[in-house]
Amino acid sequence: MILTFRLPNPDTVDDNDDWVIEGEIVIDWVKAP
Amino acid sequence: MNRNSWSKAGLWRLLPFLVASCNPGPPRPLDVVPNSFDENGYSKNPLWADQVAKGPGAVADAISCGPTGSAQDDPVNWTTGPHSCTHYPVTTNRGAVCGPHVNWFAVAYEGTITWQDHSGDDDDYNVELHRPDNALYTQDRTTGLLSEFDSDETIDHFETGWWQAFHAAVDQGNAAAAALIRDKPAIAIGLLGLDCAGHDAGHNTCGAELHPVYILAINIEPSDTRHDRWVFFARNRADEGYCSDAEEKLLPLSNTNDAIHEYRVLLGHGSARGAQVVSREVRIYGDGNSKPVGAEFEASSFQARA
Repeated sequence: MILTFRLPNPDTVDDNDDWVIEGEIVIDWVKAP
Repeated sequence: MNRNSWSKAGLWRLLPFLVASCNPGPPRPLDVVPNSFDENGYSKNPLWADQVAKGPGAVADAISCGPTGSAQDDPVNWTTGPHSCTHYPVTTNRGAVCGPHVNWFAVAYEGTITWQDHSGDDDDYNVELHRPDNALYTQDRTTGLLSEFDSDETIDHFETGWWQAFHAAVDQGNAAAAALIRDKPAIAIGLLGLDCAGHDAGHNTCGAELHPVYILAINIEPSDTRHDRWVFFARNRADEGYCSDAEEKLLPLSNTNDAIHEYRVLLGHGSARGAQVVSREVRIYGDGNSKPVGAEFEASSFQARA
């Protein structure tokens, strides 16, 4: 499973404009046959 | 002498200098030795050169080689002169009354996690990351790699279920917090550096850390069979606590001018050939008036390599 986080470029958004992604994910693994 | 022969002669004269500039000489104790690379291209689980020199499982001496006292604040003193610890052009970041943090670059670290404490000085949450090879450990802390994130920037604003429960556990006390994450598998991306904030005049007490932690994923319900439950957060700008004034940014290794920066974390599971999402609870928030276009979270199954 690949988690991809896309956040604003910190050099181009306002200095006080901080963005965060938080959470959880439950995964079912698919085993090799 | 015609132009061609001059060029060749000039090249031969320059060659020793070119070789010298490409070959910086023997490793210094706090050079970072790559081990592997993560999905973003960040060095993953690297070692200090001092660890490599001493052999498997050794911890690095981050005290003997560095400058002391106020000399620690000038990055040049870490790379030139009698106290050269590294070839890498480190930067420093200090607060008004303490410091400095001596910073290398962002690295990825995969191991297990334990709780340390909630700092009363700067509200940082302090955890330790552990690996059997002791990657990046230094002699001030031989049990793990200290890793810190500011609760004011992170968990104080979190609203998803597990993070709120963890926040409450931390407020209840160290034992409750420790029980929720003890020895769980974890992946972190953070700024590798030395915390020299606690040094006394004339003494070097620097120790390695990931600070700030930008991205953290913890498998809070690891399973040998089917389910895994991962919790995570990600940001790309953060402080280094009480003993720092400047923010430290996480930049990708390419496309740094793009409006949106992308970071990826690979969650593996033995011989699994793929994965599917059973449930997810994700929140994206910021201080701005509206979420920037393109700021998103995505979970996608990988296809195992043949």
